[in-house]
Amino acid sequence: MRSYIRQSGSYSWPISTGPFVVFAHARNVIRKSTKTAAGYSSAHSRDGPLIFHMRDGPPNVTGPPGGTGPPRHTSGSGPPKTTGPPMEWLARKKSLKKSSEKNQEKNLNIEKSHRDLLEENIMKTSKRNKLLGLALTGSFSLFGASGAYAAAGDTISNQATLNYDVGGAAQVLIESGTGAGNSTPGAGNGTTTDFIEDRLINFDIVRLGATGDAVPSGTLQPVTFNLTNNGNAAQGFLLKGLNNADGTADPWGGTNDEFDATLVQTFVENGLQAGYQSSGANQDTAAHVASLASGANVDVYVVSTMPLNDTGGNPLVNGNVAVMTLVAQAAIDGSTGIAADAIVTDDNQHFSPGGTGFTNATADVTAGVAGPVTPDDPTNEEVVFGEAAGTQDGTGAADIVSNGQHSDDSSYTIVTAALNVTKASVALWDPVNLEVNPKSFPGAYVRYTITIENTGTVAADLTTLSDTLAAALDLDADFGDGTAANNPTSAVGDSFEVTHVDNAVTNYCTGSTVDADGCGYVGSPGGVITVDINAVMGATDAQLAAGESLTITFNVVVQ
Amino acid sequence: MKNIKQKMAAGLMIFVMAMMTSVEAYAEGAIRFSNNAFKQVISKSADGSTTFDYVEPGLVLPDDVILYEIVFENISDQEVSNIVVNNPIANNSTYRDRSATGDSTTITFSVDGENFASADALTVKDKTGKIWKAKPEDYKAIRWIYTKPLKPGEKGKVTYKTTIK
Repeated sequence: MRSYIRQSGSYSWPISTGPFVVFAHARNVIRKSTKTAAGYSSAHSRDGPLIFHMRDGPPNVTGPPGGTGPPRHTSGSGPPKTTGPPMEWLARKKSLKKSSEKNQEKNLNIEKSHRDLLEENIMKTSKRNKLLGLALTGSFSLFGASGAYAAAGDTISNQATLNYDVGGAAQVLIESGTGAGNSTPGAGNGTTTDFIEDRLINFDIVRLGATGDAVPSGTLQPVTFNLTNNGNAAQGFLLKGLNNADGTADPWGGTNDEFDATLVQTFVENGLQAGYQSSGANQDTAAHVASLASGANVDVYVVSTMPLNDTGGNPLVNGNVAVMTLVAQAAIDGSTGIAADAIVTDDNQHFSPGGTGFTNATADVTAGVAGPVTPDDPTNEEVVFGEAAGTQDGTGAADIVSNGQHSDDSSYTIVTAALNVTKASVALWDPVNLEVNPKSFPGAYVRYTITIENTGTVAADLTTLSDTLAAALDLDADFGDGTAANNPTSAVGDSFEVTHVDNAVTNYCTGSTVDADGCGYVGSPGGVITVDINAVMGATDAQLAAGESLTITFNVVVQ
Repeated sequence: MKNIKQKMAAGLMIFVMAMMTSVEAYAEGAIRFSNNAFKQVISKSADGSTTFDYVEPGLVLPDDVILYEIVFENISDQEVSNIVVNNPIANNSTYRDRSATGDSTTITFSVDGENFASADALTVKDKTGKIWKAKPEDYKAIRWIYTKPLKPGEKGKVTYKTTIK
């Protein structure tokens, strides 16, 4: 005998009630980086404070001027020095001592005015000004305890002394001089052998930890990188996060890139609490690195919003990958994150490609141009890009060596709840057969049970279920209209029964209108039912952990 | 730098010529004493041989090697004896092991700038008071004791190398 009980398996829709939609928020479970230390860690790679005088006498009393700070030969505004005969630079050295003394006097004034400039934040007009700024900023460091590592721009100064006897009698010592040398005995008559240590701009971006777990539509999803300053001076850095083309390989070994993140931002670890903090007292807010000491490193987060769909329009599912790139552009120490802070040209005819959208889309860095070929000058602090090639540069092209930029790739991987929704129906009662083998003809009652199961790996917070009934069906506003044997145990007037199966919690709500109980029915017959699962069940019982399920049951009357 | 590269030997020739032509007029002491720095540039030719050039220290970056060449010449008419050359290691620089040279000299080093000893005998104390053999990076000064008298017109030369920090 044919059974009149209609029961469906997954995705079968007897007595179609039309499409229904379940809205759920997957819980945002972010895998924290295993890195324990807070972002800033200064690598004390040098032995101790620099010693600028190693003469016999007390420092800075009788010694030559060369050792107390870099003479500011770098700040000249004239054209590059022309190439002289091979030893011409030695002759120039002879004047270094006197000019150093003068320059030292000037230094105080220069530093004062430089501070003024900094305060007014106007030192951004040209590369030469930037280099002046670099040199001067370095000079601050030289006089401070923390400046022991700021080697670029330092004058490396050396002087030998010679003692001797004539006719068995000790003579007045003689100091060395540069070039042909010094033949006048006595302290203070020699000249120091000086040259300036040039600025090596060298830095490294590396991805840290693991792929960044992210949920579809999730906001402020971080992936962690680390930036290390391998140069010989403190530098600022402008930062930029980039998507990659579909098909780009996941550096963490996942599937290839399938979607693009949106609202891509960068934030720098502030050292208060390891890991990206999107809010609260420890929120990481800096979008650029103002100053990173030589040898120091800092964590940088690329922070983005996930779409709901991949670039092909398909909903994101577990394991989908977006490969992300962090690009760092060298900038002046003390950078405020503006485009003009970028150092885009070095003294080795190398230049930066620039790129738009640095500092969270506020700084468009103009590409540099190759500088003129000028002779290296022992009295100038030259700037040399020395970083390795990264992945992408600031324009999205392949990064090359020595262009003032470095980058690395990491990725987001979608980790989300996966909901499996089934809908089953069974005839409950008809006016002829009553509850014995009921049929679905007008006047009959049919019960629908919608089962939502979380087959994913993370918990899902269910929000709202909606379902459009077929035109021939009307919601049974009151479970009590069924036969006594088939009624759920509910108060008369309730329309929906919601059960968290694993928590064994069942609640009811009315379908009369969309009201405070979270459920409603609009239009009849063929109307739309709405069940606000979160309102009916509360947050705890509206949440499906992996493997858990929830059912929603209601009756309809066949018209 | 590229267009004024020169071999150290060539530099020395010019150096010597410069001394002979310009110095006599205002010589005041018995010794002319010079100290010049050169950056070491290593290049490999196609046949695999390595050439060391010593050039003006124009572009100097961390890990570059600097050669210091210290020359003393007796410009008096009397013999000079007991010559002792002291040279501190420059700031931002680390002495390169076994780089100090000097014919007819006894070379000693110091980790405090005052007490000198041979490289083998030099020690440092760590924070716990334990005594270790000093490493080249501990050296703060070098001393050359010239073991011969320097006759009028003679000259001596000592050199050493550092690495830029």
